[in-house]
Amino acid sequence: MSTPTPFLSALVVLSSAFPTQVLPVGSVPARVRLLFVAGAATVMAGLAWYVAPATGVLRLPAIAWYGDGILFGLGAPGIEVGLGALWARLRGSRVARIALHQQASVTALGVIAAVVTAIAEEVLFRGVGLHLLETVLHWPALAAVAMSALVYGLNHLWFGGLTVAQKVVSGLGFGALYDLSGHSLLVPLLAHVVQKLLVLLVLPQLVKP
Amino acid sequence: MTGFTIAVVLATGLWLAVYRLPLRTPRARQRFRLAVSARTGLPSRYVFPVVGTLIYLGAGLLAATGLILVTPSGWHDPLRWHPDRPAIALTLLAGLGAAALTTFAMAIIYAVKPGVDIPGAVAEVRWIQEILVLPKRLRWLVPMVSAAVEEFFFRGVALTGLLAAGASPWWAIAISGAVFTTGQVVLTGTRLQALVLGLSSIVLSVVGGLLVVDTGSVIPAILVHASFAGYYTNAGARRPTAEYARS
Repeated sequence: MSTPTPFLSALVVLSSAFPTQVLPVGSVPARVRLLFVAGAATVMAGLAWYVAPATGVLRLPAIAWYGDGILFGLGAPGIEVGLGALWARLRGSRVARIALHQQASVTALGVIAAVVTAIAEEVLFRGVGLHLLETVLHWPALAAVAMSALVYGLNHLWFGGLTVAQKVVSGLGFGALYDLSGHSLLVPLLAHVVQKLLVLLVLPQLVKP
Repeated sequence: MTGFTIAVVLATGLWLAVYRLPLRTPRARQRFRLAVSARTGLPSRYVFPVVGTLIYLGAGLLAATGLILVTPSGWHDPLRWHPDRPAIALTLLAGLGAAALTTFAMAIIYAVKPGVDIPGAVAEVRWIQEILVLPKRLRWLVPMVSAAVEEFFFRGVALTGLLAAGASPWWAIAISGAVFTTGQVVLTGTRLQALVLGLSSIVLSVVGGLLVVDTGSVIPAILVHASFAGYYTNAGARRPTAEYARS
């Protein structure tokens, strides 16, 4: 590595922007898709963390921020569902029911894969991407949070435009938690994991078809 | 910097002209195919994959040699590389990143125009059709070697020459990438082919360019481009058409 870090940072940010799209989602068999996404995101996160000239991965927050992370994680599914309902309302559709998860049964392996993916996504989008945009490439904080949220949302493009919008909103929250907690990855990571567990394990028990 | 930019454009134009112009009509291609096959015993369906590739590689290396002769003072050999663990990890990340960025670009095309047949369009690119007639090992080797020569010319000589001529790294990446992308697009036959190959060429230009600027060597960019070309030529394309295989 012989050059100033901005070029290395730009290369790391670009290369790790779309970890779930190393292969087209449709080309991976459905039964191993969650594992593939988790594996690809983990490998990319590990490589990006290793080569990035700076990260916020290991910084610890003040204790109070753990509670804020958990609170945002508990509220995030509501924000995403509310956005979906608002979109349906704007299009003049009546919301008859809410689909929380496409899979009829969630396996233990599926939950582990989803949690691992959430951790890898936080390392990539907040701990490496957002951190490099702000501290090395000197983007204004708002623009950097917006860009990292947009890229996080666009990683869900295969699920449609509404999902992208929902994930952009969640991403803005995760980015804000990261910045406001003093560039600590643990806070958005906690929020993201709580959100996943809530959606996969708790809410399906409450909202039965 | 302007003089070297003109030299890059001229060298690229001559390279592509030598490869494309003499055999641009179906009649000329058929006569060439039969003549080479009759004199060498090479099966006629292998004539263009083999001889065409040799012409492309030879003209590319000659163009690179010519460009090296006019590189500004201060230019250094881009083939030197001392791979340590971070450099290997960065090369691996860049390779995965190039694939991911390309898939994302294709996802955008699908989102804008859902019924579009991208694998079909790629399979109909003439040089890919020609390569897919070859035995399996050569179907990997030919695009990988071609990619290595392209990367050596555009990033190893053109980009580093522009840097030596005083261009900023971003300008050097943009100019060498624009010429490379244009060269790829003019070899396509339809608008969809041009869009798909154009977008993947932009991805390779930026990722490869940043790798060269960061490591000072073209070897990591060659590894990324060669693996990318080998994979996508084989995985993205369908079997060649029966009509071409018979010819």
